Amino acid sequence: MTSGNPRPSPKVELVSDELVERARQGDAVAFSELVAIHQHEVYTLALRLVGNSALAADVSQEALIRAWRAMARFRGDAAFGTWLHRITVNAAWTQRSKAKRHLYVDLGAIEDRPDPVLLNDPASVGERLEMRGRLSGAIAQLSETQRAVVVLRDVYGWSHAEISDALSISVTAAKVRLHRAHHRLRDLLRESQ
Amino acid sequence: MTSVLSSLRSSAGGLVRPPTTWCLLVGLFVYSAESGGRLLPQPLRSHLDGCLRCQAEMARERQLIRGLAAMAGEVEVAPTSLGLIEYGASQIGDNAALPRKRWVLGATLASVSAGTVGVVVLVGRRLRTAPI
Repeated sequence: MTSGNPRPSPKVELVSDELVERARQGDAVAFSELVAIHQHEVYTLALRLVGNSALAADVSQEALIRAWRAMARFRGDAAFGTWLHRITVNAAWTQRSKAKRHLYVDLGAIEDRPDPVLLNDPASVGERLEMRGRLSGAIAQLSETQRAVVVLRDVYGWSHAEISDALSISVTAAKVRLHRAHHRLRDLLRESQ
Repeated sequence: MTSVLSSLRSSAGGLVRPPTTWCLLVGLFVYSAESGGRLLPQPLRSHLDGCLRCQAEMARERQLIRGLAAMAGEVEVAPTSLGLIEYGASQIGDNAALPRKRWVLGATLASVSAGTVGVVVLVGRRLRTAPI
């Protein structure tokens, strides 16, 4: 199930800052509210990295638990959401062997899921959804590292340095994998046309 | 390469000129050129202007980058089971503040114990070496 992701309004960010501060002091209720705000983003990132909805839910849980445990050490240098994304990538990366085992189980489920946008207005968004479906299918066929590099760089806009740090690979390796991933994605998209 | 040629052959309905070295070079630069990282060098740009194959490759790369960027604005709705975390904090225990307090307390106790042992040893030595 997919929905649009409008940027948070300043009011939401203010509320979030207050919640972050309370959560840093150990307020579990405040952290729960933060989870309610960010859980879908965390799950989406996890799903894009591991390509499996069941494993993505596990990764999300693990990421949120890690976040809660590390909450007192959150200094606020980056936005809370960015910090949470980083934890999610780490959690997904430590479970990559598990992801490999389950890779082919849920790919169909991801594409077969009913989409409310499609149900509401199929004519106006049909082309975009068709492209997205093909793109999701192609991304799922990449290797774990290639998929992670593409998702972090092209979808989330991370720098090569951030990617190399998160995935424990060199910057050059990140660039090479991105280049190969793009080449492969172009081939896969051409084949699916 | 064979698949590329066969797909081009089928789409054009006739014989297609095989890719040249210039085409391969454009293929190497196409991502950095499209993502704004680097400009395509002049000789490759000249080749690109006259090569339909490379123009198609460039268009595909552009479409790919746009498609990936568009994914940033979409969110998958998390399954309801993820809501477990909402009350899970109390089950997981307190956050890192508590372990850190415990660590500080443990370190202080260890230092005090070590200091006490040191004092006892020093006093013992002095008593043993003191003139009778």
